[in-house]
Amino acid sequence: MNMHTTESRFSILSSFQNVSDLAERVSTYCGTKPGSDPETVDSMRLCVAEALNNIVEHAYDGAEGKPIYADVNLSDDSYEILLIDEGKPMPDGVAPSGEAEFDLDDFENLPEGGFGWMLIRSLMDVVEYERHDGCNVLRLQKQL
Amino acid sequence: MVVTVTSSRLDRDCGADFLNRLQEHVAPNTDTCVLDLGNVIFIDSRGIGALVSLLKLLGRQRRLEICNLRPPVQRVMRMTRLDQVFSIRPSLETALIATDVSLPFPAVPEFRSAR
Repeated sequence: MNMHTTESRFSILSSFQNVSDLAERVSTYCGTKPGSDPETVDSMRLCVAEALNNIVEHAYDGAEGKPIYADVNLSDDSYEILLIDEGKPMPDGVAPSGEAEFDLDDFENLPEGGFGWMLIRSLMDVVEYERHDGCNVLRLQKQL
Repeated sequence: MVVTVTSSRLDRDCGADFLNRLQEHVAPNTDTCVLDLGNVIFIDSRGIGALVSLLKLLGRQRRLEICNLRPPVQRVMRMTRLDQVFSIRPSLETALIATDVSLPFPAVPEFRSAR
């Protein structure tokens, strides 16, 4: 079977405004693949936005103007995105589990944030994090 | 009070601003807030967090109805399980019937006669 793969690199300087733009560009690029469905493209946009917001907020402590790269590989059976930054490593060297335990009936203590990793973990088929040459590399993959 | 979000995005970039404006204008002035998200096609964890903040701001004594959710917003609600926390209505009309808030625009005749 011939696997057809196209690869593209996007880059931005860290800022929350640029995150929206990059998530849009990456998902639009995913949508150019023949046969891609809108729901999957929506999932890519959301997960890339969540992961990039975490990079700006945590890896770069909100600092603007720092480099972030997104390598996108579109193959016959998956979308794969590598997000690369030069910020601080993730705590304990692992990506958060996203298992937010909260009691739906406990009104006063409903969480007002922290849903990002929950969404990434439930929408992506592969989430891998590694530290490589002083960079954070997060691999997100969605099977088609 | 009926609040229509005109932005197509409710995300990290605008979630805080959205919440500030609601805190300023809506929370002090209303017992019932109907939030129409019909224009929103993208919501992220911050946008969802802002909705939870609004719900808590209104408290148990006051009411929040969210209506007109587009599929991407519905999916995020479901994945975070917050669809079990919010009162979600399929349309503005059903939200208004549920809350008995008068229509902000001329009612369609069928709706008016139903009342």
